[in-house]
Amino acid sequence: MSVAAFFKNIQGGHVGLFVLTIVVLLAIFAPLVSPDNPVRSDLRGRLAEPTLSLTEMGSAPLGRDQLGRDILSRMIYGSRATLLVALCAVVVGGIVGVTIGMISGFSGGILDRILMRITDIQLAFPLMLLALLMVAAMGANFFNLIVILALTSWTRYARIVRGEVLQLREREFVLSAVAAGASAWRICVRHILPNIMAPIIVVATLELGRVIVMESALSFLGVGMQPPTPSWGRMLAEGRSYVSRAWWLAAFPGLGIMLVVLSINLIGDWLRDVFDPKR
Amino acid sequence: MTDTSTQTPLLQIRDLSVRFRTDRGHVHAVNGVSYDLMPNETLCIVGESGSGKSVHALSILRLLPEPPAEITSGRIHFDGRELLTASRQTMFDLRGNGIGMVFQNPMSSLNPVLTIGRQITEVLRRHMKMDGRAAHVRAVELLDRVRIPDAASRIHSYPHEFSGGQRQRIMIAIAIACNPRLLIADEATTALDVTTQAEIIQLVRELKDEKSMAVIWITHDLGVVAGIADTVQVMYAGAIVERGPVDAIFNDPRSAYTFGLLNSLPDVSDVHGARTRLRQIDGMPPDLHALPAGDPFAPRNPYATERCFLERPPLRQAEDAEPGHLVAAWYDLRKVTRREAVG
Amino acid sequence: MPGPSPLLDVRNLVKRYESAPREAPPAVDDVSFHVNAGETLGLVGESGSGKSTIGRAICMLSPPNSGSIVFEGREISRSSQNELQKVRQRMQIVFQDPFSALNPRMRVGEFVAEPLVIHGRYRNRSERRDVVAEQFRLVGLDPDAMGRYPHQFSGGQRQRICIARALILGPSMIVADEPIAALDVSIQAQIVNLLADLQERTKVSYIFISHDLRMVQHICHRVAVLYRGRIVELANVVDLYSNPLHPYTQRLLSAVPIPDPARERARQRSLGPLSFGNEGSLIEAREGHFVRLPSLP
Repeated sequence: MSVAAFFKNIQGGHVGLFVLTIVVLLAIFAPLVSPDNPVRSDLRGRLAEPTLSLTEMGSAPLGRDQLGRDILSRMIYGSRATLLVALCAVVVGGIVGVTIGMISGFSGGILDRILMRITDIQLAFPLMLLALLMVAAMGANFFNLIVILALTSWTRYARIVRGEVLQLREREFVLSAVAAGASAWRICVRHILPNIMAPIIVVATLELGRVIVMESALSFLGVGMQPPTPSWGRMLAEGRSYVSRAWWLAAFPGLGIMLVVLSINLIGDWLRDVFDPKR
Repeated sequence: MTDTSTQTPLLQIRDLSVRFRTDRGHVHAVNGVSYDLMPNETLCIVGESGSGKSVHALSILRLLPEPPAEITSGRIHFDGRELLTASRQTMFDLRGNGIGMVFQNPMSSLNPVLTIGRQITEVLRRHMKMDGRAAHVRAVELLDRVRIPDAASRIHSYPHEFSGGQRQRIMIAIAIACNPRLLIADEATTALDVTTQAEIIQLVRELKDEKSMAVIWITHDLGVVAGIADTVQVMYAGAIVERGPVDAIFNDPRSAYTFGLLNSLPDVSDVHGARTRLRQIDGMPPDLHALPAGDPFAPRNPYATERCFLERPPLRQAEDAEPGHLVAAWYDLRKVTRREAVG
Repeated sequence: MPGPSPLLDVRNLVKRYESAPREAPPAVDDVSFHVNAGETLGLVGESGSGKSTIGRAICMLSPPNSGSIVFEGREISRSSQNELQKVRQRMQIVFQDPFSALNPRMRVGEFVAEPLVIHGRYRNRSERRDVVAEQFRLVGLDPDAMGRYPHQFSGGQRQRICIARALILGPSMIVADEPIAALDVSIQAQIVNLLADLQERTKVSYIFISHDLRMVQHICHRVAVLYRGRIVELANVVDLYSNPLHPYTQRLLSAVPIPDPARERARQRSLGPLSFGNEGSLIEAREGHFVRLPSLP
């Protein structure tokens, strides 16, 4: 295959996958790849500009923050918290949301109405306010953060899954499974779930992006990951006060968030096509 | 029908080919279709899905989305104008008052949020340059003509307030609003109940005589064809396989495909002979991505000769048949079926 | 009731949709008929006649509001879940649209095998495979295609797959709900022939629901004509087509187009009135020929 043909066949999803793989690998091997200790401060290097040249404190290609900590190292370690929290939140929210959406759509009747009212209430509640209240009540730690983010996330799955199930329920292959004596469990798992994977994946990728942004926002407000654990959101928040003097404090974490969210969305689009058996 | 040989055709199609671009390459939907349609003639185009019957009709009106559709060759001459090179404005005008079209599903052709009166008067105002009052009067007349009961008050109703058959009547009212010279009906009665279908066919027959329209009626139902056609044209894999006067096609078919279609229908006249096997056509329609070099029907044709597999037969006058009875076949169906009857 | 007890006996079936306005008449109103073993009963009528609703009610896909459905001597409309599972092995349904009748994400071999899995037959995987392969051959499909997905098949092939699935448990009855309406003309004959062949071999009974009166005449032994949720006429096929008694049946038959230009031209259509009463009671006009007497004005 020629170089030109290679580039022609590349899809957005491949690029996204490539970028995300690198980010994930960096996160996993953070102790090996980061040039510096992310929490070691050195006031001599306070707000040092990004530079490729080596100083007496070591290299800091992305500059140093207000306490003289290496931004690159902090970003590498920060991605661990950010990605792990987001991923867990999306998976937990997804499982809860898909289950509730399936039950609601498949059972119908009073149960459906109750579940959907709960969903409506949850959707109507301002997410940020909810998150702040919960942090205030439960305290901010890794586990609670996942619960909070998942709680803001499941409704979107539930709504979409319920709509899809309502449509599929009337489809003739589902009726044919009923007529063949299939159990509700079999119908849900074998006939409905595989046919709603595409929308679920799309929601999941969109949610992953949204949850990363939200985790950053919570950290930005000081209720997300607690110091000294670095996370991209907190770095963004801390850099805010210095943005006129030292743009790199906020710019690199912001860029990181944008890049990861974009990659995930590209992967989502690509997966949706891959999951389509017509291709 | 009057003697057509001295008249100039209303519609002339020459060597029309249309293909669609897909992920798997090109779908060759229409392959070298040529025919003439006389004023006031009713032409029935018969074929199955993938025969190109609807695609070719849509290309007459330039209604195909291009891309993915692509008209690769041909000329379409209508009433003194060349349509394939016509401007957008010409085509727009023509769709209103030159050619009317009725589709299978009237609900998707009608705008659900506008009253039907609004939808008919809009056509009249735009294409006939009528003022509001005149258009309203005319719209009521039209609805009355297509036998919508109580037209004067129903004109303010929305599409969902009508039954399927009534909606199709409304579509016909819109299609004939500007007195077109040609009405194209694409599976217009397929979704309707059989009694409603009979009424719609009756209506179109009357309108055709009243307005001296030519009609192209596209269908897969040979029973409907027998009831309304002057001329029948059978299509398979994007090409015409047989064409001729309606009686000739039904009584003396020369294409094995036409013959097979006619034979596959249950014989309704024989009320006591039910429960015999139908004479089915085996196999499946060809893949339009990769049409064979020869006759596309050859693999399903028990009478196919060796030549059928190698070379595509041209559409030409059938031997010892009525003038204008054309067939695309290398074999002589009369001989093979006679031999079959003897043997 | 002629002869021994029929395979299926439906009495006073009523089905009302929850979504319908309360004052509207039920979708199916007091329908009674029976089907004998090895017989094909046609249910014909136009849209809104309730013919598909009856089919779905019999298969307990949307259970009736009242009435009784006795199948193989068992009252199924009030049977327990356990008993219903037994019925489901003996009665199957084939739908109109072969595109939405197959699960697009399930390999067709697995789809055909599913009833075996559900009812725990042929638990051995390779044995099950053989049964399914045999079933593929029976309906005229290549067993090598078992690993493919539905979109790789044409409409006619999909309908064959549905029939294979419906037959795999060896049912005594198949409800065929407009099984050929969505197919091309040249394929319709293939499917109708297949259904007839399978009946000859397995003695399965069909309820053939259709609006195509020509095909119904061809394939059915007896025919029930439905109008607005009620049977207006029920007779054996020869009597019904040669001597229709109810004005609606007459109108319906007169509207059927005949593929013969000379006869079509000579034909006088008696389309008559647009609506009929469906009140009154079903009486036996001649032996086995029932008609609903139009109510007197």
